[in-house]
Amino acid sequence: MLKISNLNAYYGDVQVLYDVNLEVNDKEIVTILGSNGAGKTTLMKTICGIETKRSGVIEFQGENLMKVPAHKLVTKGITLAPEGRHLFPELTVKENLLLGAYAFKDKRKINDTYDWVLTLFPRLKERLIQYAGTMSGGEQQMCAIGRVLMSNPKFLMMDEPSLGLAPNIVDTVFDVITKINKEKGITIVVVEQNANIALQTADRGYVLENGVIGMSGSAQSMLESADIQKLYLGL
Amino acid sequence: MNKNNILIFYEKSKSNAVISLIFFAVLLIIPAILRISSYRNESYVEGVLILCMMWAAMTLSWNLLMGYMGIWSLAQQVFFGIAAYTSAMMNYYLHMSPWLGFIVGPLCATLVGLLVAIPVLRLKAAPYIIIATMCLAEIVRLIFINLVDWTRGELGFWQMDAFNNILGINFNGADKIPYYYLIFIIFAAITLVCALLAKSSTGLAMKSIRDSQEAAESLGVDIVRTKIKVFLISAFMAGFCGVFFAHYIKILTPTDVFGPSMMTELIAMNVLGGIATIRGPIFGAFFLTLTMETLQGIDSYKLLIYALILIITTLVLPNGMLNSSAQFISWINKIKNLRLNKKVPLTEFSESG
Amino acid sequence: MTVFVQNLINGIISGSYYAVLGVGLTVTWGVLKMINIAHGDFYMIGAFMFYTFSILMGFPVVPSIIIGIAAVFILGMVMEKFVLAPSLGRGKFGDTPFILTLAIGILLQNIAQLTWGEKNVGVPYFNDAIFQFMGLTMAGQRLIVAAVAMVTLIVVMMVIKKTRFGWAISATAQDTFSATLMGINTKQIYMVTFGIAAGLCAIAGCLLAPIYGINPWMGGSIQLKSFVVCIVGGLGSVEGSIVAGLALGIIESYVTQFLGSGWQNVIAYALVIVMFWFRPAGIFGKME
Ligand SMILES: Nc1ncnc2c1ncn2[C@@H]1O[C@H](COP(=O)(O)OP(=O)(O)O)[C@@H](O)[C@H]1O
Ligand SMILES: [Mg+2]
Repeated sequence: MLKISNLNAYYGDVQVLYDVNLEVNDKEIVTILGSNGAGKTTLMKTICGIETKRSGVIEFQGENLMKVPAHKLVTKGITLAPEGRHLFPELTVKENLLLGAYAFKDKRKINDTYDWVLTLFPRLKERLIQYAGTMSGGEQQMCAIGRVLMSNPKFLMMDEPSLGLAPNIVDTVFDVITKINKEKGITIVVVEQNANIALQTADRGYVLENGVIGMSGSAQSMLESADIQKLYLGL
Repeated sequence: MNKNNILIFYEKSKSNAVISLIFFAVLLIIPAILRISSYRNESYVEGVLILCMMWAAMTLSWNLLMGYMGIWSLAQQVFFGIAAYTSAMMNYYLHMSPWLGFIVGPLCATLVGLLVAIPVLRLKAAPYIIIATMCLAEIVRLIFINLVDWTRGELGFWQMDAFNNILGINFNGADKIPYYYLIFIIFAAITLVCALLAKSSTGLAMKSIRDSQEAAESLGVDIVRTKIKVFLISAFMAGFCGVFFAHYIKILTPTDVFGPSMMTELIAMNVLGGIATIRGPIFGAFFLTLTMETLQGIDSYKLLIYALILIITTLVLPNGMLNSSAQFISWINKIKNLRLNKKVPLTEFSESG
Repeated sequence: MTVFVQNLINGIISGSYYAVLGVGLTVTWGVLKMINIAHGDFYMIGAFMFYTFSILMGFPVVPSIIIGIAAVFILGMVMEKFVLAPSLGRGKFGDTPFILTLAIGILLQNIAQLTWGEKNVGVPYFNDAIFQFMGLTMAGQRLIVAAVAMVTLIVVMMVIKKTRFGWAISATAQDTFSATLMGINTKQIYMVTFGIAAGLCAIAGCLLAPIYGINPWMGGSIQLKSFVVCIVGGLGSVEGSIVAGLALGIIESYVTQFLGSGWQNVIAYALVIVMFWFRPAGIFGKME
């Protein structure tokens, strides 16, 4: 579905990603692991074409994305739930969710999706008219995931969805990830530092270190790998 | 690889001091050269250079606040104007010698500097500071317009006394040389103080405040003290220029000296040359004053050209004309890349965000 | 008592224009994160456009106003696209765009001076009727002007709160990065927002032109008043600007009554300083 070859990314003159090659197949869950500052967030932003200067090739379903402006991606079925959630703090939860479908016009379909998102996150139902900025971290994360789902994505990227959340909420989030993958066939890339739960959920994984892809393989084999266990699972 | 001339010019080295010495030496002997060369219009050239030096000194004083400390105070003309008015009014009502104006004027300016600094101290975000200081400046202008009994309102003052002759130097003649050297001394002194201040520990404190007030605080910088100190120094310097102006130009109206247009010029001069340097404001002031002077013939288009220069420089050389070595290097690299890329296949670059 | 009410009404009328101007400035700040010091000059250009179409070209009043507003709207978008857009985000608070608006202001003033001259020009009142009502005197002109301002403010509020486009503006103002991910073309939003702010200035310029006259420097005091309004209302807050605009108009009208018009602006600007002292973020702004 997504194929990245020789991707380089720069902030100004500082290079952060070096010749990244990465492939995501249809209906897969792929996780990208890596320590702080490895360039995971940069990789997400670069795929979307936001903030960085980039060179290389990004292909989505055979189409080159390098020339597609960032705001057009959502209509192609690509979306990102960014690190730190980035909700619109002074809009209500409902408005945040509806903005997720901003690029689409079919009212009926938007309503259906909206109902579906609220069944996924019943907690949000009680919060619809609350300002998004005033909710707890867990609720905000649900709202952020709900918001990206509003666009009915084919390909969903999530940047550290578990960051700063209580363990039970992390479980909820990853349950939803599995569920939307199975039920709707959404292809998912999850960036995580919480390697354990990410590898248990994912089909395959990549390790990004200092802007370079270090290791990759099936989630199972990575869980068993001695290096991964030492570096990311704390065993 | 042969280095580009421009780059050598930009290279930071001891040559900076040499360049400034040469610059001031040239300014010092220009009147002599003009007379030796039997150029007829020497007092015109001197007049233009007097303005150049005065604006350079003013811009330097503002650069301390905006450039080095990041305080966008848009009330610099007020310090200038207060000192000018003080000296003029003392002269008009009390027949005080203009020389004493150099003491009383800057002191009053400093006092007003304190009055401006206090409200500004409470504000952190630049837009608030900009608007607060613009309002303060406008209040002062309106007060000077409205207190007609003392300030003569919109009429202002004119025909103040010239500086009295001292040491046998005649300030009342047609010759501009005495004024030329007077402003030269003021300009040189202000430049020196700015340069010393920038290198001192206060200079360091100023820069740290500009970069981040929180960080400065955690480093133990006394923010309030530093800000007030710089405001007072800056106002004092502007005051000197104001007193000179009052007894050189000899026309003061509230709108000329307190209105926003002088501030606009200071901003333009500073930004054009490059902020937070000593040479930047000097270059900007000389460049703009000389350009405007050469455009005298097409007077009505002057401001248009002025605005276009400002727009183009700001967009193309964001760090000012003198601070753009990095810009030039990257252009040179781009040109080189273009040449290389003709042979090597292109790597695709896209910029966004 | 009638004097009191008369002042109140006069204050509301001029205040509604301060509100219109303040809203434009505050929305510009909210979305583009820059302050526009050429705001008053768009007001001036708007008035001159109206003068050109109605007096010089002889169009009827309403079409002249509409064309004038449209022209300034487009002018604003052009300025944003070609002058401001390349510099947005530079500097800590957008110093570079701020300096550029300074240049745009000079540019517009000079163009106006070259095109229409320095002399004050005027346009006739739209309506010469004078209404007497319980001892109050109301010029028809002022009533029309007030009505237009009120309608403008309501329309602006509705657009921001209720339309897709308004949502896109709010979203861009609150988080440009997220807004892009939602499929909002934020660069276009920047451009249109700036255009709308300029258009709002033009509305004020056209409608006030018969009352105050037109010259290239008329933007100066309006500029500072608009700043005052959006500071007192809290930078970025549309409701705040509306309240602050009306309040400023009313206060001014009483100050003029008691102290004379010379001091009216001094009070307005002094208010800002007092405001900064006690509540730096404005009435409706969030404290830092
Ligand atoms: N906006 C930026 N400007 C400059 N450098 C940045 C920026 N964002 C991130 N970086 C740098 O890029 C590197 C990778 O950061 P990031 O992608 O956020 O890592 P991760 O998400 O893996 O923690 C870091 O060294 C960081 O300092
Ligand atoms: Mg990250």
